[in-house]
Amino acid sequence: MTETLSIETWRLAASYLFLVLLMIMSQLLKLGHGKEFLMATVRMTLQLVLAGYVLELVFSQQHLLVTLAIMLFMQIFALITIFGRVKGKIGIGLKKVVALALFVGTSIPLAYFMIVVISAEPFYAPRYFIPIAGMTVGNSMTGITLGAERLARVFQTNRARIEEALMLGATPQEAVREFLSDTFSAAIIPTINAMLGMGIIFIPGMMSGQILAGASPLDAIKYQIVIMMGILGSVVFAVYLIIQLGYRTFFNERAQLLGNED
Amino acid sequence: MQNAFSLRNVTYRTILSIPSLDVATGSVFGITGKSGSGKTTLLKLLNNLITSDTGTVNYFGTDVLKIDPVTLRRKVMMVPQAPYIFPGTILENIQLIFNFNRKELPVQVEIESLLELFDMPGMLNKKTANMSGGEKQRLALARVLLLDPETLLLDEPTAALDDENARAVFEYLAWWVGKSGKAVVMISHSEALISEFGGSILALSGGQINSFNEEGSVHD
Repeated sequence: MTETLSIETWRLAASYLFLVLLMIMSQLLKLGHGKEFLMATVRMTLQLVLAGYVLELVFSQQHLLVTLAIMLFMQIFALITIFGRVKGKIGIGLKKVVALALFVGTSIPLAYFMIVVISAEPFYAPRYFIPIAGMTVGNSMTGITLGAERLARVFQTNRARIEEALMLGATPQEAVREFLSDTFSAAIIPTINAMLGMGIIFIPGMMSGQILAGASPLDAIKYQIVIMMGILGSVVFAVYLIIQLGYRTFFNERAQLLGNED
Repeated sequence: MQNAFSLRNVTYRTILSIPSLDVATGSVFGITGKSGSGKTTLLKLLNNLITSDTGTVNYFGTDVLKIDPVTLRRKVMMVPQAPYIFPGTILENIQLIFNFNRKELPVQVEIESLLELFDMPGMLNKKTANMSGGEKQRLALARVLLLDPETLLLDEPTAALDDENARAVFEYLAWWVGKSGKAVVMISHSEALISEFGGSILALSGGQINSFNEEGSVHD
């Protein structure tokens, strides 16, 4: 470890220069989004300042319940975000599966990585647990949203085809099998793409942060690999749950496709 | 002759209301009626793709709700009006629905001869993407006939066929039910063809039975 270069307050303030330029450009070119740019910057600043103080406080007291409460807060926030994005597109049955996929899909891989791979002392040490939980929950949120949206669309656009497979003696799972594999791929593609480009097309944020904070690149990549595997694990697990449990919500116990109006 | 289906006091939303109906085995049972008269809904009640709000639908004396739905549909097979043909070749299509039904594919000669009967000779390895509407409809019918189910539910199976092919399909179905004592329930606008091949005709209107001409009776 080398010494961390601390940013002085006036230099931090100088980093806002580009916001000022953006505001001026917005005025001159009549882009009309000046308020939004300003709002985004103010929100980002306030949220990060708040997060900084909260994390300082949390890191100072290692308590399992506090760590778990923060993780639960992240998961609930992620769930609200997903529901906001898929509003009106998915039914109550699929919403329940979304919640289950998010909580179970992120908790189990996270527990594995914290206990077996990272093996911090204690395993719930907030300094490690919280950033890793944030990354796994955040990425799973994207995978679950894509999976749920895509699944709902499959049943909207392929009703006749799915019902025909049922007519021909298929079980509900057989009737939707081809669509499920497409849905699975679509939901995990952002994670796979991120892995493909990593280290060559871009240096991931976490790794950049560690290097800037003085860690050796070789240590930083170890963490990055572990994080990516954790993200992959939770995204795949959560997406698998949303698909395998989600398609069932479109059928009833008589293997009938729900929503038959004709 | 046994009754394949017996319906008593069946209603489905505001779409269909059938006080009493029996469908006998051994002949083609025709359903006619305008669009929206409840014809397709009636077929879907028979294989339990939908469940009636009231009343009972019995299949050979057993309430369809007491039969495992997937097992029921493997016995009572339905072909919709605009059948979906799976991607791949004709043979792959046939293979897929045999897989659905956990059945071994018949020997190739048997498949070839049925396809020939349906005017698709030597097309076993033809890609389904290049098929015409009529060919798709004939393949949809041929692939379920190869499975030899107990009962067939057909939604306008000859709609995309020319007169010659439509007649050939009726002839085959009449022969199939006649020799096996099975049942075919068919929605069709070809009332003349159903009559010619000796079936009962149920006419629906606004979800109600408008008229019912039992097999062999004089038409009103």
